[in-house]
Parts: sequence; structure tokens; C-alpha cells
Amino acid sequence: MNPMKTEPFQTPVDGRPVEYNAERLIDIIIDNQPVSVPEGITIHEAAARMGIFIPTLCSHPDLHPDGDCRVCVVEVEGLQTLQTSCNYRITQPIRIRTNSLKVIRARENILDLLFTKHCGYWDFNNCSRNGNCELQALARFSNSPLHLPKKEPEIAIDHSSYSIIREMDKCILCRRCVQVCQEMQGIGCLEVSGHGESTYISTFMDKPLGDSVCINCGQCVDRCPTAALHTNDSSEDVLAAIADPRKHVVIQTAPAPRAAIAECFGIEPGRALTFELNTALRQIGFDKVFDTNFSADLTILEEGAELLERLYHGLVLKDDQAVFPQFTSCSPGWVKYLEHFYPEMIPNLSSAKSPQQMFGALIKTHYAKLANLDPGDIVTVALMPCTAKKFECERPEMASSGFQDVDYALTTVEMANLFKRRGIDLPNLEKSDFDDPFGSATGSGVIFGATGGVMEAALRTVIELVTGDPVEKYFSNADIQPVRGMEGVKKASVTLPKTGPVPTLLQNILPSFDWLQGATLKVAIAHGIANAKKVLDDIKAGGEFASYHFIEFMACPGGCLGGGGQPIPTSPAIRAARAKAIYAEDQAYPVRKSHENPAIMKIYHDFLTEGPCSHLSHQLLHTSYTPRSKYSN
Amino acid sequence: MPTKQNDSPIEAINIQLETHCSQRSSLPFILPILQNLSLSDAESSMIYLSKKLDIPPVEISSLISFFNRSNSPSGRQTDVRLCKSMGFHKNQIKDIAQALQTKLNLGFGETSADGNCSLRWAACADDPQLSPMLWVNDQVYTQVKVEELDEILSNNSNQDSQSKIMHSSTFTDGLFFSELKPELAIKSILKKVVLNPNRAKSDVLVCNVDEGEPLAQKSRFLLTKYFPLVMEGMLINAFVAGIERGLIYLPNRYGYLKANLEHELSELRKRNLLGVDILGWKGFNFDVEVLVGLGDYVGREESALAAFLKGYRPEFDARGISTLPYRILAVDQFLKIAYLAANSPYNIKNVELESCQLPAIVSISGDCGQPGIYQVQNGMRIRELLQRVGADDACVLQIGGISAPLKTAEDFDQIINPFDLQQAASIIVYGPQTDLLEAVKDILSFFHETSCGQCVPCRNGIPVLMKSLQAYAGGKKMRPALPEIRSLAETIQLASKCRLGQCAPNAFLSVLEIAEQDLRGGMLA
Repeated sequence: MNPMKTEPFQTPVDGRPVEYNAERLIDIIIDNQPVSVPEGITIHEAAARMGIFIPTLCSHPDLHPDGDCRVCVVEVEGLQTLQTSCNYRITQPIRIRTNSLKVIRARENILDLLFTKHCGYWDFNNCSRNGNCELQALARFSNSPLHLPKKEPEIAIDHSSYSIIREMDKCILCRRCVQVCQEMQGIGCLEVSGHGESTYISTFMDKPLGDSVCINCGQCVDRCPTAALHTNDSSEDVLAAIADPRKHVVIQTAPAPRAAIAECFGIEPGRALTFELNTALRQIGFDKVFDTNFSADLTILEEGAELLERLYHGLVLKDDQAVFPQFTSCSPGWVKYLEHFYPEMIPNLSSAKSPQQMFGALIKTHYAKLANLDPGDIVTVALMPCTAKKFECERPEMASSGFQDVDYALTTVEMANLFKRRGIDLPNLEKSDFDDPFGSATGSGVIFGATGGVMEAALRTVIELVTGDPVEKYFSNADIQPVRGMEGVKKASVTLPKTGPVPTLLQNILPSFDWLQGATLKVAIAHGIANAKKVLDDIKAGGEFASYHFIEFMACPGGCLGGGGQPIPTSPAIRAARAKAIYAEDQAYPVRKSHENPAIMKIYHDFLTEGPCSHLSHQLLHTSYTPRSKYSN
Repeated sequence: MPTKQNDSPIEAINIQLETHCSQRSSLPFILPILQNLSLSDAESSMIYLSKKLDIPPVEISSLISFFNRSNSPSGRQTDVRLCKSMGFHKNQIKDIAQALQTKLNLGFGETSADGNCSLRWAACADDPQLSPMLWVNDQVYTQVKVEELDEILSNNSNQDSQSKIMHSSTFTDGLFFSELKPELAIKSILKKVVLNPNRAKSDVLVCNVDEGEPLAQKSRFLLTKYFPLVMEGMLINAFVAGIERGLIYLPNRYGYLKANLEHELSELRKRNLLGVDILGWKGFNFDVEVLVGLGDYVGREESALAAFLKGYRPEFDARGISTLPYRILAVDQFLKIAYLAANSPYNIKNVELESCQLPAIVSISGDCGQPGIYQVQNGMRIRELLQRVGADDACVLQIGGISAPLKTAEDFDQIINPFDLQQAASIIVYGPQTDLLEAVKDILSFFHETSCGQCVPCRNGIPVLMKSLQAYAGGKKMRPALPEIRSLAETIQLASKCRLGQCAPNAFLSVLEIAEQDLRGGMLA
């Protein structure tokens, strides 16, 4: 398994600056080694820089270190009690011992206490985190001095959510999930309840997760050190379908899992295994392997057309039903968040489905016909970075084909575990291409995996279709830099100096583009729900963003590459590496604009003949939303 | 049986929201309303509050759940709470407990099937003169005997406990401020010190009446006996620091003091010693309100109390919540301020430095002839103190409350270290008849219940110590073995996040040492 990495605290996701002063150095001694460190640095980070490893448990690179687990305690000369190195900030010259007898004994005792409160450490081969569990990784520091009886399972497993399962017998009360949900995401579904020995993590009124306001983003799953929170893994159902000779099982793979799945095999973040994955999936037994990039490009056409149509209705026809800004709708966690907390803004949401769902609808209609199959025999599976996709595919309205459009959504981690169970050595497989008729990877589809990617793909298409110019004329190499990067809220504006004729594809919905002559399109990108909330509150208060036209929202920090189903661990550095891989893939592909994808041109030629946002498109590729209560599901 | 009032909770909630500007800090005032509601009423009230305060509803249910002593709700009509024993009246309280269980047909921590009646334990009554103490709804009964229970439960008792409590005759010898004339201190300050022009509109001066552990009844006593002087101390502090708002924080077990205190406060307002332009000084505004907390011993630790006053879970230093803008001082600190103001007003700004020179005020309890509130001069030896309180045959004592280690006879020639009294200004004496093992069990049990649950050593370690003690007391072999248990106890002392966890094993470790040295005297079976 991955060797434990100690990463220096980087800028946390909420943009708080790193809290130390590089100007002022302080001389300290750690384990008899003298060193000068910047004022304000934590003991843990100072030690890490010197190659001294101090085990931690509850601290996390994305979160504020609370120092609750006490695993990282060290001795500071002059202080009677041990100090937590994760949040002890050095402001004076001190002498630190990280491995004195006191510290070692304390660590052993604390770990012993933790293990005996964690139900199932002896049952590890049934645990989804076996081999990648932070508590298991600490076992080498403990030697069970206390010989305490092991904990028997007491608490019923919460299976109520399609996406996330709560196995609270395994919870060690690190409180990361609470911090993630309350502060990092700003939703507030989980909180600590009770006190003392009977402390536990709960939802409001102890409701099952499926009945709460949980949006299924899975950020808590990504940061849980054990399997107390894990995904609802349906891979056994998928394997059963594959084993069934009557079933034709197809899978679509999304860019974010492809960029990250290598991490599950011990490889440094940043290496995409897109084409090796195709080989592996065929070995598992999938009949066809499709590229979600296709439907990502389709989403751009549909949503881009919708935007132009909305602008036309709003600016020219003065229709007050056309509300702005238009919000993207491909992040199901984000969509559920809006439904719960800002249902009055549902009209702002694009009616376009997510790429996953568009694909499902097309597979069970157009593809079924092409392949001469009964759609009832087709099982669609999606490989996604996302836990909310499991909820999305079960939404009642996601059955435009007459069947459940997408049957199963599997996450990156679930798929990696499946490969490992089958002995498939993913990183070392031969590469192979995707199946037709849905074509191969495109740059515009691949960047969906990063925050700002949907917006960039949309802008590449909209600018070209409206101006008639290649987008390289306005943005070098078609790289729209202002929408890229990990800042919580990004803004960009594009002025359209000229307009060209309306392409055939859009002639059914727009008579001309002249009304856009000289217009400035204002767009924004928000990732992470806390940032989404800032933008929404600003719009409601009539602030700056109220005058924007199009905003991309992603529930997960970093965009889909930081999704709840992505490999664990996650951190700002890991997400940055995944983003780099995704943009590098974009550079490598010959087709980098959605409207130039040959498979897209074919689908509108052969099947969706009336073009985007036509009647047939609306039937299959667009959806509606459900206002929900702010307090329960 | 005395019944509860069932007014519309929303109206009551709205009143509190208005008084406290619909801030999260209004929660401590609102939660008592929610605690007595049925589950479904509580849910809708919490949702209402969540809307008004713009916080997720789970934050509110989480805060209430911190204080729930049992999983069952309190009885709608009758909520019976018996104060625990801690070293005194153990047998009487046990008898009353058994009688209550029989009469109500309920175990402790249970509610009747129809939801009307509940039976629970309450925090230890600190004053042995009031114990055994029993609550039925908001009515408190003192010196309860088993024979009186029928009368009490049917609301026919003519006990006038309120006045018994207010006039409880706790022994005290001459305290250094007790001769201070009222209003002398404040007037001398007003003449000699300049009013701080920067009136801090947002700061709140808090008088913390919560001792932090059982048997330490100093704050309650001083507050009731010297209330006007305490208020003078608050006034002076407010004047010098420029604060306009004050709060008297009563832990739940002192809730019966609230009515009296509010009456006295209104008297002070009439004499222009509270309110606007106090004593005629323009711009000198200060007023005080009383808050009864949802639980007990929260005030043990400043950051926990500040978190609670802000509407968060009362946990030590949690989530980096700072103590601002609350300035929290104990009752006797205000008395010291008043004393210093009267005697050396120009030094009033260095009040912390100066008050270290004053004698410590300590609550002394346990096996002694004259338990009460004493002042302990710097340099006094333990033996001297024991003589003063009538405990010549003392075997063991704790200086610094139940948080402290045990001192045995060989330590009695030592000078009392004022630093030891900082954790709790309480000294507990154990005589030759004390069952030390029982005492340590009670002590660990207290820490176990009061632990906030944030950190692993305290939350998960203390129960292991308790279980090992049970095994030992039951004549079984200690499990884990003694050296491992000792190591665990030391880890809890060294690695816990706050002083509660760090002090919890002290008495336990002392008893282990004593057992090892095999002292005689009926301590260990």
C-alpha cells in the first residue's frame, strides 16, 4: 500500500492563507537535531521537513487541525503535558522529543483505546478500506498493551442512502466528516451528538441519511479515515448482470476516474490510465466500453444551445421566464443542494441532463436500435468519480428511454477494488480504444473532470458558433486560462466582437446572432458547496453575480476530480496533480471542441435530426427538478 | 403531583430571540424551553429556530443532546431528580433512591410508558446541610427523608426549602472582605479612576457561579451571602474595562437561586447601582442578566463556558472558538476586586497581580468537625489547617478538589501550595472510616460523566480505569494488569486535551500508590 506521506499544510480549500511567517526564523531542536524554522509553523510540519515522521490521525490537509485524537503528541521541554504536533505552532525556541518513552507509551495506549472502539478490525478482509485504512496503517505503532476486549457490533448499519453507507460501529470520532460537512461544504448535515463516552456522530433528529438533507457529495467519505463512511457499492450487482448471458452490459467511463484510478495501485497522482482501463473493463466482461466524453460534448451542445436560446428569449423577446444566470446541472450533488436550500432558483438550472444520464437515455434508444437489441436487455453502468451519481441514476424522472436510463454508477475506488479482487494489474495492461458508435476521447469532454472544465468547453463552442471564428483567435491554443485553477470562485468575461451566420444545427431555435454583436458574456465558476452558497447568496441579494449569464457549479472542491468516489487520500496537492493530468490529456487529443466531435455530428445527423433543444432532445436529454425541504429529504 | 406549564414554545422562543438580537448566543436562553417538549414539538421548534438563526438544525439538536443525561425524555407532568451523593449521606440517598424506584415503578434514567413521569439522577448537592436533595419539576426539597416522599410526590409537602437554602448556615470564619462597607469600593473608584471612554458595547462580563466539581460550594455560598459586594466587584470591573453588559451564569443545579437573584438585581436598579448613568455618572452604563445553564460543571473551564454562551457545544477549545467577547471570572474574584478597590484603588488595573497576594478562599468538606468556607493564608501548613477544621484524625486529603492527588499523613507537614488550589478551590478531608475505593469510584464516575468526549485518552481511557477498579474491588485480578493500568493513567494525565482529563486519574493513581504501600485503616477491603 501507499507509504504514508507527510505533506506540508498547503492552502486549504477555503482559501485560508498558510499561517506562518517565512521572514522570521526560530531556532529549535527536534530529537537533538537543531534547525531553523519559520515562525508559526506547526511542529508536525517542521518535523516532516526534516524527514522525521510523526503519526497523525484526525488531522487532514484540507481541514483545520483540532487535535482531538492525540495520536500525534510529542514532548516539548518545559511543558508538563504532551502537545499535539498537528496544531502546536512554534513561536519560540523550544526543544522537542518526538520519540521519548513518554511519547511512545502515550501513543501505544491511545492507539490501543482507538482499536478497541473500532468494531471489526479483526474482520478486515470484509472491509472496503482494507489496505487503505488510516487506522490500520497506525497498527505498526501499537502493541496492544491493555488487552482490552474487542467491541461487538451494536449499531445498525444505515443503508438508507443510495450513495453513502454509515457503519457507525467503525467510527473513531475523528470528527472530520463534521468539519467537512459543516465548514468545508457548508451544508451542516452531520454533527457531534451526546457527550463523553456516549458521543456519536448524527444527523438532525438521528434521521437515516437517506431522509436527511445530505446531498450525496461524498466529501465525508473521501476524508473518513476508516470505513465508517463508505460508498454504496453495487459492483456485485454489476458482476451478476455480466454473468447473465441474456444481458448486454455496457459501461461509460468519465475523465476524472481515468485520471485518478492509478493512485489506487500505488502510482503517484497525475497519470491517466484511460486506455488501459478499456482493456481491464473488457477483461471483467463488459460488452462495450464507451467514453463519457461523447455525452459530455453532447451536453455542451444541448446546454450551449439552451444558453443561447435563453439569452435570445431574455434579451430580445423580453421574456421574463428566461432567468439569469443559467446554472450548469451536471453535478447531481449540486443539483440536490439547490433543490433543498434554494428551490426558488430551480428555474436558473439548465434543463440539460448530466453526461451520464444523457448517455443512458441514448444507449437504451438509439444504440439499442443500432445494435438491434431489446433495451430491456441492456444494462448501463457508469464509472464515475461521484457518489451522488448513484442517487442521480435512481431519480424517478431519469427513465426517458422507457427503462431506467443508467442502471448502476460505480466509483473509481469501487472499480479499483473490483480489479484487485480479479487480479487485474491495471497500470500494466495494453491500451485499447473505446467502442463505436460513440467515438473516442476529446479534449473538450475530458476537461469536464476539472473545475472550470464545463465552462471552458462551453465557451470554446459558443464563441466559435457565434462568431464564426476559431476560438484560438481569442484564446491562445484554445486554452481559456481565466476559468482554470483551484480558486473557490472564478470569473471571466468574453466580448463577442462579431457574429456570424447561425449554423444549420441551431437554425431551428435561433433566427440570427446579430443581437449578440458586441455583447459581453459574463461567466463564473464555483466549486465546493461553500463557494456555491456565496455566489447564490450574492445573486439573491442582487449583487455582482446577478448580472452574470452563465455559472458553472460543482459540488466537490476541485470539480469532479475531487469527487466522493475518488481515491483516498485527497489533498490540495493531489487534486492539483489530477487537474494537471486532465489538462495534459486535453492537449494531446486531436479534437478539442465539442461541436467538432465526429460522433456528435453523426448523432445530430442520424438521430436527433431536429437539433439541440428540439422536441426529441428535450424528451431524452433534458430533465426537470424537485423542490425539497431544507430540513429533510 | 406538581405539573409543568405547557405554553406555546414559539412565543417563549420569540421573546428570548428578541432580547438577544436573534444571535446564536440566544440559544443558551432558549434551550431550556426545548428540553421539556415532546420529540415532535421539539423538532418543529428546532426547525423554527434554525430558520431564525440561519444555522443548520442539527447544530441545535447537537447542543441539546450534549446535556441529555439519558436517552429518554423528561416526564411531561412529573420530572423527579435525586441529587447524587458524593461522600456524604450515601446510605440515606441509597434508601431514598430505592424508595423512589418502588413508588414510581421506574428505574433511574427511565420514563413511564405514557411519558408523564421520569426519574433521573441530578448533580450532587454540594452543601451537606441541604442533602439529601430532591427535585420535582422546578421545586426543590432539602434534607429529604424516606418518610416524606409520599407527601412530596403528591405535592402536599409544606417544606419551605427555598428559605432553608437561602439561609443555609454554612460555617465560615472571618473572610478578609467581610467587613467591607457597601458602596465604599465603587465610590472610591469613581472618585479616583477615570471612566474608560471606550465603552466596549460587545463585551460581556460573566460571573461564573459554576464551581467545576462537586463538593466545592464556595461560589454559591459567596454569591448568596455577599451578593451586593459581588455586584460591586462586577461594577468596578465594568467601569475600569469599559464593559456595559454582565451575566451571572448559574449551573443547572443552582437554578433555584435565579428568582432571588433577579429580585435583588431589580433592587439594585432602583438604587441606581445598575442600569444607565450609574450613581449619577454620565456614560457609566451596566446591567446584568441571569442565565441558568442546561447542565452542571460546564463552567469548570473558561473556553467551554464561552463556547456554550455563544451557542456551541461546551467543549474545551473546540473548533478554535475563542473566549472573546466573554470575560469570565469566578465569584470570589469580584470580591477581591471590590476589596482591592476599597484599599488601593490606583492599583486596580493590576488586579490579577494584586489579588495573588490575598489569601485564598477555599471550600473545605468531608470528614471534619467544621466544614465550610475558609480563607487560607499563604504559608499555612496542612496540619494547621486540619486542626482548624477539626480533622485531627484525618488520614488523607485532597488539596484542589477531587481533581487533586491524595496527600497522606507523611505530607501533613508541607505548606499548602496555592498553585494546587487553582484547579478547584476545594479541600476534601477523608477520615479513618472512609472507604477510599468507593471515593475513587465516585470521583472517576464524575469525570466520566463530565467529560466532553472530544479527545481519546479522556473519553475512552477513563472507562478502562473505572472497569479495572470494579474488578479490583470485586476481589478479582485487575485487568489490564497493574503496570499497564498505571501507564494508561499516566497517558491520560499527559495526553488529554484539557485539565479535566489531565486531572481525572490523579486520585486513582494516588490510591494505587497507597495500596502498594499497604497503609492500614480500613481503606481497602
